[in-house]
Amino acid sequence: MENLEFLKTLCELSATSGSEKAVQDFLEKEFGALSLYIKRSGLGDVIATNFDEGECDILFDAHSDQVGFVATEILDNGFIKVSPVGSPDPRAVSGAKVRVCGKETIEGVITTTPPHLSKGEELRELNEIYVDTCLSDIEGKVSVGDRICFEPVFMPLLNKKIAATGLDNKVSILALYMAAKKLLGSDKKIAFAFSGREEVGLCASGAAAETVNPRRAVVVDVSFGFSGKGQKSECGKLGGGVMIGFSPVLSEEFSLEAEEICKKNAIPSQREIMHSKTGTNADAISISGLGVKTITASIPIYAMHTGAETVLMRDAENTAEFLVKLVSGLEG
Amino acid sequence: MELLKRLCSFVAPSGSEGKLREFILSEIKDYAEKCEVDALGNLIVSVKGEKRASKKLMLIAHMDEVGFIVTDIMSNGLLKFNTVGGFCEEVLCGKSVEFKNGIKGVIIPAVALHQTSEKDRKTAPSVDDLFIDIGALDKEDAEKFVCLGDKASFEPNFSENEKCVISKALDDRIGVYILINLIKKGLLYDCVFVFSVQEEVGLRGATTSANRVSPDMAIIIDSTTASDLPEVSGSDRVCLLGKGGAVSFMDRATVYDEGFYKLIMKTAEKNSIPVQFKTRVAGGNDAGAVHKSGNGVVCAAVSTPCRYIHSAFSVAAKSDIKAIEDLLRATVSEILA
Repeated sequence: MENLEFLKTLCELSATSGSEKAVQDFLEKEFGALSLYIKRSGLGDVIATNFDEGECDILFDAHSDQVGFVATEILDNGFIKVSPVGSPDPRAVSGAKVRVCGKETIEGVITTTPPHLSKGEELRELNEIYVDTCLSDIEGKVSVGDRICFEPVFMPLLNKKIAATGLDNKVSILALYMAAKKLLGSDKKIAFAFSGREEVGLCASGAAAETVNPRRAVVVDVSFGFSGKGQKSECGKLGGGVMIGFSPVLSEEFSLEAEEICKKNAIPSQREIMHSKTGTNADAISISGLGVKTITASIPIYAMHTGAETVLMRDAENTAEFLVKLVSGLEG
Repeated sequence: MELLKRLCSFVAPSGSEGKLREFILSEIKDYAEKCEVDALGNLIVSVKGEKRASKKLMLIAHMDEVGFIVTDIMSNGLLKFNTVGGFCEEVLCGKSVEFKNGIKGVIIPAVALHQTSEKDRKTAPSVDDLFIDIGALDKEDAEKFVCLGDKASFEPNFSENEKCVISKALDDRIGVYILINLIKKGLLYDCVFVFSVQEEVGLRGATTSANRVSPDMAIIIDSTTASDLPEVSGSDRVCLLGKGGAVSFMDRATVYDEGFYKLIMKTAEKNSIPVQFKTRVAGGNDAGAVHKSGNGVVCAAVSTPCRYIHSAFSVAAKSDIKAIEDLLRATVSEILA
C-alpha cells in the first residue's frame, strides 16, 4: 500500500485503548501482505516478524491505541455522559466532533457551555462532559462502556504536512511500515510490535516484547513540537528530524550509537532530553523479561491529543530511514 | 437540505460575504422584481407577491458568519489570529479552518500539553495561546499563501442525520436558506428581502439596508442559542430543538413590538405550526439596528434554535427550519392583508 494511503486508512480507524481490533486487523493484513510472520501477544497485540523462531535482534515498537472517551451514562434526548480514556487535551474537547462506536457508528458533538451559563473561561472536567448525538433517542444504539473518539480528520496541509486525528501514534506505525518495506531482504531478525493500551499506562508493550524476547528495542512514538511558546528545551522542532531520546531509563550507549548512525548517514536528527522516565513504551519494554537495551525515536508533532494533530511527513520518513540504517549497522 | 449544505460550504466571515452573495443572487434573481447590492455589500431583493401589500415588510437574514483574521505570522510559519465576531474561546482549539483562497489549517494550542499547568488545563486558551497551522515551513513560506488581514472560517463540514443538521455557520445560513425558499416558492403579498452583511461585528449591514428600504415592519430571521442540554432546566435553556421557531419578546439589543410578536404566536396557533418563546433576555440580532432606523420600524424576530452556536459544529433540528418557513409564510398572509 502506498504510504500516504496507508496513513489515511489507519487514521480513519478508531482505536481507543483496549478497543483496538479494527486497527489490529488492518495491521495484521498489511504487514502480512509484506510476507511477514504475524504473532499475537497474550493481550492481542500484533507483532510482525521476519523470522519464525530464534532470538530477535531488534524490536521496533509503536503503540496502536489512541486517546478518546468511554460512555458512562446514557441520558434522555440523545445525550451521553462520558469519561476520558487516556488523556485527551482538555483544551480541545469542547465543541469537538466525535464518533460514537456503539452498536452502530453515530456521529456526535461534545457539548459546549452556553455563554449565559459560562463561568468565565473555566473548562469542564473531563469526566463531566456530554456528547450530543443529535438524535431523539439512542436506546439500544449506544451502551455504557461504548467508546467514543474524535471524529477522524485527515487533511493534507502545505509542504506534505498532515493534520489528522490519532497521529499519536499512527504516524509512528507508518514509520515502521515504511521501514519494514525497505527491510524485506534483511538477514537480521526484526520484530515490529504494535502494542495496545499505551495511553492508559503502557499496559501491553511489556507483554508484546516478551513474546519475541528482543536483544534491543527502539520505541517509536510522537513527541511535542515547539510552537513558539513554553519551554523550548523540552520540545522538538518540526522538520528537525527524528528525535533520539536521552534519559536515565534508556541505554546511553544505544542512544549515542543511534545519534552516530544518523550523522554517518546524513539523516536529520535531534536530541530529546528527558530527566526521568520517558512516558513511552520504552519505560515498560526496557524492564520486560530480563531487561532490554532500549531507546526512543520520536516524531515531533503539534497539538498532541487534540482532534487534529499535525506532523511533517519528512520527519516520519527520516525516522523510517534511521530504523533501516540501524538494522544494516547491527553486528552479525 | 442540498441548498443549505451548499450555503454552509462558503467561507464568509463578516466583511467577506462576496462569494456567498453572488451565489444567493444566482439562486433568486429569476424570482425577483429587483435586486440591489449596496455599498457595504447587502443584497436587497424586491419580490412581487400574488397581491399588493398594505405595508412595506422587510424580511432580513444575515449572510456573514463568525471567523478569524490573521494578525501576525511567526518566524516558524505559524499564524497568529484574532476572532471576527463573538466566540466562547473554549470552542477554538483543535478545529479545522479554511481561508477564502482555499488554504486549510488547524487551530493548535501554543503551549504543548506536557508543559501546561493545572490551571492551563482547566482554562480555555485565549487567542494569544493558539496558532493556526497551515503547514508553512517559515514566515516567508507562509506569506506565499496568507497575508495579514486574511480571513478564515471553520472548515465547511456539513452533515445531517434523521433529526438534525450539523455544521459550521448555521447562524445564519439557515435564515438565508429560509428566505431563498420563500422567494422561490412565492408569497401572497409583496415583500422586500435583505441578505445582510457584518451582523456578527455589530449589526452594520442591517443599519444601511434598513435606511435604504425604509420598511414599515421587519422580521429578522436569525439563529439563537438553544441550551436544552443535560444539567440545564427551565428558562435557562433559552429555547428547545424541535419545538419550532423561537420568537423574541426582548433581547440585549431590542425590546420587540408586543402586538407584532403576539400576532406571530397567534398565527402559529391558528395554523398549528410549532413555535416557542425565546425564554431568556440574551443575545441580539439585526433588529437592534433595524428598529431604530429611519423614523422607527416595528420589528419581530423568529430564530432557529441552535445548539453550540458560533462553534465548528452547531446543531439545529430540521423540523424547526420547516416550521419557521411555514410560520413566515402564514404571517406574511396575515399582516399584509
